[in-house]
Amino acid sequence: MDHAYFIDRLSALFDNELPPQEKQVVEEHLRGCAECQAALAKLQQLEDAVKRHSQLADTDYWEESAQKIERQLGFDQQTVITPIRHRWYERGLGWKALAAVASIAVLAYIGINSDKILKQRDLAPSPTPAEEKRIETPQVSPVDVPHADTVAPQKAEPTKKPLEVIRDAAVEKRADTAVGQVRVKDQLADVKKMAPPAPASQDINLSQRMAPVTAKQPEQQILNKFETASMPERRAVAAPTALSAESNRVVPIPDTAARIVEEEADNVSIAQVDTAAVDSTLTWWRKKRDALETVRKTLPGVDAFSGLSKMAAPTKLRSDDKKQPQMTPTEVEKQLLEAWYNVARLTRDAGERDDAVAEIRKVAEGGKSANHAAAVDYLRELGVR
Amino acid sequence: MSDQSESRPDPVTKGTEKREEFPDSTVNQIVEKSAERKLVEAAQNGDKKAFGDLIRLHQKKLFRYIYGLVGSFDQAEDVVQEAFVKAYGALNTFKPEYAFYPWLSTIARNLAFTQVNREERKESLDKLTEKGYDPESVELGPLEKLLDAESEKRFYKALMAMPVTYRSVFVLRHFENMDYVQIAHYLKIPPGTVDSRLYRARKYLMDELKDLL
Repeated sequence: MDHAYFIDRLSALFDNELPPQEKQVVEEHLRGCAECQAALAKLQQLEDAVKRHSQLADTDYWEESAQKIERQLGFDQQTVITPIRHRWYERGLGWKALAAVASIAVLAYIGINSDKILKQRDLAPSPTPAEEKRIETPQVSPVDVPHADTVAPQKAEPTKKPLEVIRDAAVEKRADTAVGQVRVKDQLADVKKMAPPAPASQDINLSQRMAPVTAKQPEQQILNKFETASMPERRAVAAPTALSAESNRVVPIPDTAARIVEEEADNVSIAQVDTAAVDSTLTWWRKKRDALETVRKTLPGVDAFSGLSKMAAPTKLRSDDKKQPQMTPTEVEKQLLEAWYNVARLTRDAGERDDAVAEIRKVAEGGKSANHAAAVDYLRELGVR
Repeated sequence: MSDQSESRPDPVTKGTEKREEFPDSTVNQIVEKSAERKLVEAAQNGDKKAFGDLIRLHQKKLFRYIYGLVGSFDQAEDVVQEAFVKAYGALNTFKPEYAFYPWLSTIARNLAFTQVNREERKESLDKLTEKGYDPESVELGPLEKLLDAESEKRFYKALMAMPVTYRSVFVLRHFENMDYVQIAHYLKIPPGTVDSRLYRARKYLMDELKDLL
């Protein structure tokens, strides 16, 4: 056979892959051929070289790779040595970023819902003179009972708003009675309390009368939207004839606007006051008064109003209605006083006013009621001490 | 697949003497297999650390093998990782009395099969005849960090310079100790083609690495 054939078959002989007969032939040639023996030795050297030079070094790569696989498998991280990482979210920046985003979200929420937030504050009944005093002098406050006014349908009925306070004042000026001394200035101060910081108004007419804004706070910028929305209401105050009975939307009055309203309230003419709004408020207080008087009659063992507040045990307004929360006699008396006071303050019926004043006087002169001080204040405010 | 190094009888050539120069290798293999079997059984019983040890025991050898096939560091890395993940998922189907690495390498080889075929279509024997094999043009990339000596870089550059049709046969034979039938079965080529390709690959490497032999 050709020598080249044996050279070619040496590779298979080295791998022990030759058939037995061919292997025998090649081995016989190999014993007498030095060139083929050298070639076979080269194959062995190559294999040794492959073993020597194909090995990969022991580096950190292998441990990192193993940990990577273990992470893919979701193995317990406690058994894995994780290298220190310096990513931004692992340096605590994530919490800082989250806090910043949360702050922006809160401010944005306030800006978007400023109307609703301030409306809730306005929806609360305006403080009566007695409540005002109670705030100033808590030591003389009546029994502190959680407010649970379920008698009057407050949600369906109009409530007292800052603008109505101003109208009430105007009505009382028109009535020109001795008892109509509602403190417009004080109630406007309440309006100021509810008002947000001084606006950067875009209203040309108002801005001409506004005090200069020295420093615009970020919150003010956010509230600019709300302030712009309140413009029609401000104009309505300046021209109350534009008001309708449906204008129950409560729009908070900013500080500067409140100041303007305060100035203009003194100039409000009697003819400009919408009497329909006053009548609506009066009707609401009448309903509340009647409902509370009905409740008072249902209270057991009470034949005199002066003894009502002595009952300590809570009494259900309607025992057959489990959804109605309980109301203490003191609370019933307190709310009745408030209703009588407002009816007396708003009504143009002298007989109705005298009846309300008489009921308040009973409590004031009784001296045993927890609401005695409040009744005295109501009488003083009505000017009928 | 059984352990090829044990199943194949030693040839009656000079290479036989070389393979028997470590008389205690058989004992070591038995000890290693016993330890590996314990690891496999522990991993099958839910011991994650035991499987982590199996990863660390075989990953380097497996990476060398797959890198020799696909010729890409990133692809080899992905294949090795996926192979371990698949092996872990199918661990309960594995019989601990068999060697673990051949089973693992089969999984990895099947994963690399697509890439090998794609590279085979890309390259051809014509490329070999027209341009020849130029190891100096080969860029090993991240693999160089895993090679300590210049001789190792020269070996891998020469290996990677070969077309995959020759390289795959060489790697399967020298890295995985496969016989010709097994190589032919995997590469779907006749055993005679395995013989001829292996001969050419060896001849080329002997020429390129003659100063290292």
